[in-house]
Parts: sequence; C-alpha cells; structure tokens
Amino acid sequence: MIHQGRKLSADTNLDADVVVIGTGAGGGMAMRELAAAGYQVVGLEEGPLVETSQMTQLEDEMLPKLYQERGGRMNQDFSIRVLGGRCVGGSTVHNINLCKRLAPEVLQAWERGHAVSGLSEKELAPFFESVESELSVSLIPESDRNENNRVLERGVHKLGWKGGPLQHNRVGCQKSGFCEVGCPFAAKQNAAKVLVPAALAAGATLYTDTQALRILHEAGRATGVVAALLDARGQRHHTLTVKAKAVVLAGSAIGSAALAKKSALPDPHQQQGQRLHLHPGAPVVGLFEEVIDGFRGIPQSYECTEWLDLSPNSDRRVWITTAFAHPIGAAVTLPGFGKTHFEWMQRYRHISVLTAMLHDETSGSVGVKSDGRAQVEYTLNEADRDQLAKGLRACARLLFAGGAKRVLVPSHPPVELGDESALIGGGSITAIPRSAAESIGLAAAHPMSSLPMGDDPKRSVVTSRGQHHQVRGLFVVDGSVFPTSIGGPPQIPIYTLSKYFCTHIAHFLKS
Amino acid sequence: MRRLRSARPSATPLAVAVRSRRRFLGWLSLGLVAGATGVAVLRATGYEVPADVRGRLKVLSPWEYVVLRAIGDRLVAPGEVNVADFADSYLEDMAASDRADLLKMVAVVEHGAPLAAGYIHRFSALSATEQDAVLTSLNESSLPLIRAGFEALKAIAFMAYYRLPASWPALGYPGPVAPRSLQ
Repeated sequence: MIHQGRKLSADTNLDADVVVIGTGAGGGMAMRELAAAGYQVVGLEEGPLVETSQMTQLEDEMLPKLYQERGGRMNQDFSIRVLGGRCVGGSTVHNINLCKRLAPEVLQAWERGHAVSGLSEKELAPFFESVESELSVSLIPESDRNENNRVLERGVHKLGWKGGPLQHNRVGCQKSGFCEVGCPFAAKQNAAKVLVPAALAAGATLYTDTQALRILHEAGRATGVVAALLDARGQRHHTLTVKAKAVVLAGSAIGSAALAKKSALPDPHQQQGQRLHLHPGAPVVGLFEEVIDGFRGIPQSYECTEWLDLSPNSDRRVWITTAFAHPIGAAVTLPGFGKTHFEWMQRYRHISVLTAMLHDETSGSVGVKSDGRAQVEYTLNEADRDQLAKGLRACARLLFAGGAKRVLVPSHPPVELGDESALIGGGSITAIPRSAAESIGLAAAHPMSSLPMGDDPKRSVVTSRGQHHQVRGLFVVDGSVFPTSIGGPPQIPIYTLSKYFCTHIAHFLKS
Repeated sequence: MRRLRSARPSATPLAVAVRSRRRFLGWLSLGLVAGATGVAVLRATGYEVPADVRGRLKVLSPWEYVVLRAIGDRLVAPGEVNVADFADSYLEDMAASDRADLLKMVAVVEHGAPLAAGYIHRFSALSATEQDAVLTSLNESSLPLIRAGFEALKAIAFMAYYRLPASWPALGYPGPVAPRSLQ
C-alpha cells in the first residue's frame, strides 16, 4: 500500500520489523527482499511517486519532480552540479541505465586496503547474476547505437584505443533519448518498476513525500525513524514515527550521510561523511558537418577505457563515454550568452558530446546546512585535476578522430580547436591547458563512500555486512558503503550489495 | 553612458589569491561587492513595473523583476521571453537560502558589476551594448564565485527560453516523443 505524505492529515505512529529510508537501487531492493522474506516493511521516500504517465519529457517539468533540489544541488563553491534522485525509484528513474559489475581490481583493493571481507568476485557473483537476470541486463545492440556513440566508436577505432559497447537494463526501449528525465514508455527495468511494486505486492507499506528527519537509537541499538510528512511544495506538515527492529538506510551517499549526522549517531573515529567520492565529469563538444542528433536514441551505448585502469594508485583514472542533453541542458553547457551562445545552439543537431568522468581519489565530505539540507564539500585535488586535463585532451582527440571539424572545451575561458595537430605530442599541453581543468564546470551523479564499510571500526562506518559499527540494527545499503570510488556506473553494484546485505539483515531480524 | 575604464578586469593579485583559496575569498569577494552596493540596493526606487505585474509577483521585488527582465533580454533572444516572469515562479519553490544567494547576484549585476566594469549607472539603465559589456565582464571574471553566480543567472534565463517549443525550430530540435496523451 502507498500513502502519499501530502495527502495525510495527522501525525502517525507505526510499528514494523524494518523501516527502509529511500527507494532507489539500494532501498528498493531492500524493501523487496525483506518484504518477500515475510517481514513487515515500511518504506520512506522523500520524493513523490511519479508514474510513467506523468513523464512528459520536458526538462523544466521533470527536473523538479525527479531530482534532489530540483536538479540544482551544487557543492560548496558551485563548481560541481551534484545530481541525485528524489522520487520513488530514486536515481534509477533518471539514470542512463548503464550496467557494470564491480571490477575485480576494485574488490581486491577493498579487501587488501580497507579490511573488507566476504566480498570477493566469486562470493558476489551469484548476487550479480541474480540482479542482472531480474533487471534484464543485456548488451546494447550495435543497431541501437546512435550517431553520437558512433562518433566515439569511430574515434576509438581510429586511434587504436580500448573501448567497446555497454550493457543496459532496458526492455522495449523506444530510443526516444529522454532517459535523464524519466521514461514514459516504462522501458527502464529499475527500482520503481521492478522492485517497489514487488515489495508492495509482498505486503510492504510505502510512504512517499516523507522525509526522514532522524534515526532513533538507544544504547547502541536502532529503534526507528522520525520523518516529516511533506506537502506538495515540500513543506513539513505532520510527523510520521516508525518504531522498528531494524533500520535500513538508503538515501544515497549524500542523503544517508547527512541523516547520520542529523541523527547524532555515535562516530568515535569521525568517519561519517568524510570520504565522499563523486565521479565528477566534464564535457567536450565536437562540431560536425553531418547531422548527429545526439538527443535521439540510447544516450550512452559505447565507452572508451583507454585511460581507465582501476588498479590502486593507477595514473589512468578517466572513463570516457558520450553525453548529450536536451535544449536546456545543452544551453547551460555551452559557453557565453546572447548571440555567441545562440550560434552554438543553432549547431545543436551537428554537435557530439563526450564526457571525461574521473575515478576520483579526492575525498570530499557531507555535512548539514542550517536549513537541514545536505552540504556537499568537495574540491578536486591536484592529482585529479591532472587526470581531468588528460581526459579533456583524450576526448578532444577522440572527437577529431571521429570526424569533428572543431572541438570546444566549455571551460573559462572556453578552448576552441580547429584541428587536432595541436593535440598530438608536445603540443597537447598548450592546446588544452591544465587551467581548463581548473575552470570547467563539472557534473557528478555517482556519490559514494560517505559511510564506508570495512571490518576495522577505526577506518569505516559499517561492517562488511552493512551494519553500523556503533549502532546495532542499523544497516546502510547504498553507495555510501563503497570504500573507494568504483570507476563505473554504480547502480548494479548498489542493487547487488543491497541484496547481499539483506541476507544479513534477515539473519539479524531472526536473531 | 560614460565609460570609465575597460570592462574586462585584468588578473589582479587578489584574483590569483582567490584561485588558490577559492572558497573563503570567493565568499568574501561576493560579500564585499554586495556590501558595497548595499546602499544602492536599499534605494530600490525608480523601477517602473505595471500595477498588474506588481500585484502578482510572488517572490521578486519590483526592482528585482526589472533587473532580471533586463538581464534575460541580453542572455537570450531579446523580447522573445520574459525571464523575470519565469524566475518569479521558478524561484518560489527554491530553497530560501539558494533564492537569497541568487537574488544577491541580481544585486551584484545591477549595482556592483557596472561599477567594476567602468560604468557609473546601474545595469538596468545602461544601453544594450553596455549591458553586454557588463555581462561579459561577469562571464569572464577571474573570481570563480562571481562566474558561478552568473552561470546561475544564465541557467534561469536559458530554462525560461529553451523550455518554450517556439525556441526549438531554430535548433532543429523536434521536441518530445512521449505518447501523444502527454503532449
């Protein structure tokens, strides 16, 4: 059963076996797994339920409905736009559906460097297989590759770099290209479509428009959650209190860490919210004579991994794939204003966009603003700036190799290149100066590592089974638990870790 | 209008320092600019807004409405969209502290930026060419926070304009392909 917080008119008190905060990949999976196991589950979602019939494909309508802070959340100095979901299904409603497992190198690094146990490639394999089957993960067929992705593919082949097709979790995709503002065709096999309905069918109760205010805990034991029922404009009007034997936190690496702080959870080693990674990325634009129409088709179906080595201490930490946006997003990305800007917009059908995303080493933090919202503090360190500069140059080379006549780096000031000669060899430094990597606007959609896991309570917040070191019965099942950046799309790892952690949550509830 | 000096401030020692200590000095610089113009902001007179518009404003004051409309006319196609009308609705649901920051930037554009660019009159009283020079100085500012504030204003203007189907033909953008029932 679903209750919309905006329609309730009284304070409410509930008892349950488990209360789940968040309904994205981690929370949706936890709701379904635990409800299917027979437990009384109450789910809390800060955002609304947005049906596919409400997905209008209009940016100005959908961004406020689907994203945290209406799509405008920024870090402390406004240099990074930090995107996250705020609706039933969380970020899985507006992500680009890319599916990758956690790389073996990353899992080994967690085991050796972060005291993570029980999460080897072999141990996680059956969980990954189950998730991939349930979410219909498949290779994106070559026939579904749009021209923007063919540009990347041509560039990879011409340069002899590493790259290949990507996997996704879509069924019945109409190739409309509007994935980032929600799919009106229900093609995304995501938490909102696959998991939350299954949880409800198994007896779970979901409260939407319901914002968790604090986790209740006594004597080192989680006892429930106090939440605000929100009206249609996000204002608190009544309170919901859920008493439960276990609390499952899945509000994303930003929301979960902020809630941990607001709840004053014991944190003797000051680890909470302190190791935030974001996978920040920046775009590079190529101008082509031919029509690209990157706004149509599956937005991302090909990758370049030439500059990505997920081994610890690697000096190749850039993942390159395509990026494209609809008119408002494109307008915000392109430089300048007025006539100059409009001239670029008139080339909209002829531009291809690649993005250099960092497998970041930078550690940011999550705090709480005076108005209760999460504060994201994150400033790229020098090593990551170097990586970003390499990534921008690599994107430019790929675009030229893919046939671009001009390349634009939308930094301050913008860098515009008429040919690739200046990029090759020693010229690369002057063609796209490092300062471009210091001034370019970044976007990040993969917050991680704010409540990292590990078996050493001095260096981690939760155990390798997802349970808080200091608060029994409190489990974290989202990207917060990754001890490091993972260097790839996080949805499948989050679904999978949540499913794995649920075996331990069920064990806890039994005991 | 009389122009006092170049619209493009050169890199100063302060600017270099800000780049290395971006956050603290960035906020400080914005505070100084806003503070220096505070008296002028308080003198929010001389802004003509029709009574019907004044009566329906939800979050903008009349002077903010006038300035945002003037800014919007230079950022996107002049006269094709009233950015101030859109902003008045859009800002209503924005977090109060974010809205306050954005409106501080409007004050900077109206009072601080023209002075810094060499003009003695407020932004809304400048010619279109002069307004473009002021906006260019913000767009190319060496102060990251000023640039960020300007980017926020651009985002509002671009959203106001490119949400309109009338703006799409110039781009060759055909628009949504959602089921007909949604369009």
